[in-house]
Amino acid sequence: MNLFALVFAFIYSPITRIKTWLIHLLLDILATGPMPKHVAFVMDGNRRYARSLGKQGKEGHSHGFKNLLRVLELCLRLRIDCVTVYAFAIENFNRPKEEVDTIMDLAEERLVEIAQRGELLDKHGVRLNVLGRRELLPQSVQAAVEKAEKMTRHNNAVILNICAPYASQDEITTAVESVIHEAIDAGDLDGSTITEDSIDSHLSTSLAGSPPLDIFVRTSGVRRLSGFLTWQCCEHTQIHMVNTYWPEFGLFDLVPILLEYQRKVWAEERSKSI
Amino acid sequence: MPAETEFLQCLQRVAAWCRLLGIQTLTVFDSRGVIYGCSDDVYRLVFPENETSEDGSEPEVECPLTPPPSDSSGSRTPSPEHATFPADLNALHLSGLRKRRNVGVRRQPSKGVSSASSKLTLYIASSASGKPAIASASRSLLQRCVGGASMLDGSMPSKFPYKLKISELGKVLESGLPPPDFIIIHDIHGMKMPYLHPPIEFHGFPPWQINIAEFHRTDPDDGHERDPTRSESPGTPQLISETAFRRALDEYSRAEFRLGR
Repeated sequence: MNLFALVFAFIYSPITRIKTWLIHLLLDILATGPMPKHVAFVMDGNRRYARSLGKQGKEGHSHGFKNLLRVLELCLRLRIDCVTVYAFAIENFNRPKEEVDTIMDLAEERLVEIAQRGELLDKHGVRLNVLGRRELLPQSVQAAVEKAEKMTRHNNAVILNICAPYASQDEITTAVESVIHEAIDAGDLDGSTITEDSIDSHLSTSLAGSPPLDIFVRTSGVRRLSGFLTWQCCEHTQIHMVNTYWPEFGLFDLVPILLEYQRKVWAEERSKSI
Repeated sequence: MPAETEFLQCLQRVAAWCRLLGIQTLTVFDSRGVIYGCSDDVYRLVFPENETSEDGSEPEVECPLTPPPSDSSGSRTPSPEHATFPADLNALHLSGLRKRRNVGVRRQPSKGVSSASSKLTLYIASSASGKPAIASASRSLLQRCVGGASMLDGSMPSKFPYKLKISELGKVLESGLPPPDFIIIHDIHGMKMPYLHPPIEFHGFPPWQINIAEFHRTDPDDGHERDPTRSESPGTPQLISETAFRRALDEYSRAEFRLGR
């Protein structure tokens, strides 16, 4: 090893440690204020990110997954109880077969990895739920989903919902169908038991034990909900449309979002006390 | 109420711009139902040319239609073609066209109403048009299902599995309030600290209809105007400017719709 490399390593290592320490300090300071209980992410921009690096679009999904783990770690550190991510829309099956197959292979690999490294999720008490029409997934992915969910079912500190394949109108329709079934079974033939709350309780996020949604983040600058959690976010949820591509989304994108949440909570507390 | 006045002024402006640009359907979301109860005032502001119509007929204010009960003789599950419309979708529908006495039948615009100005259809929605409307639709679908099944042989409806399609629920909900392509969000009372780009909140906008709509929030720098009859102060409501409206449409024209692809 030459002298230059030695000096670089000597300086770089403590700098990295100091940087990590400062980030943890920032997160701990933030977490002393009100924290959202449930944050949702539309992980958009993977393909555009890859193309910006001169790679094929489908390669961006791997970068996207790595960043998902980084963002999850931030959320865990911030003591956010529930994170929901939009991994795959039912409409995404319209994409080229090659890309869909790549995504399904990636999903299966990562789920198998999760199942094999269950102790990591156990350490943080993370329960993994895959929400949506899983019968549309390849059999091998369905098996990997069931195994990963089973591994973490006993955890209850943090919920991680992965929506794949999912669509809000499908979720709402399923919830309405369920409440109608229940009303029929209960002999309630005029529907007096069918209310907004009963429909809400039959949504897949509610069935997975998720609290109401506080923050919705979509990356890559697109200003649409694209059929993600429309029932859950249409009232008091703070909606953030961030220009950053998902693989680049990080702490410094998340901090202002959390500060806005804290500002809202404090403003509400002030108005109640007046 | 001051909020109502500014809301109506914004509505009048946007309706006029829509008609100039050939936009045929405009939905106004009034989360608290401030103008919901003054549809006559809204009609006069949005369709002023119809005030002096020769035939003197009443302005058209439609609630969602209720078709005659379908034939339940052989039907166990509700068919989309004969789905009962829910009792209350909580959305008002205003049009510049006159209607005949039979509900739902339209005729040609009366003399003096230009074809361009007669084409705008206005919907007024509130937060009641969202989740409460879905609950109302669900109750109606239940009653439709129960009515069909129980009349078949008198047995309990629970013996017949009920399946609901997305298209069926969509037909019921969208009949009273079609989904918009584009939503412009204008903060009438201005934003606190706009330079921080505060987040958007939908305040109960119908969740079914917002599914794939593109949305845009007006910028405080777009030269919004204040009501000249009111004194200028930080809380004075701001009327949406033409610049803001045009900028919003420019943003929409640049949006890329991948539809999942």
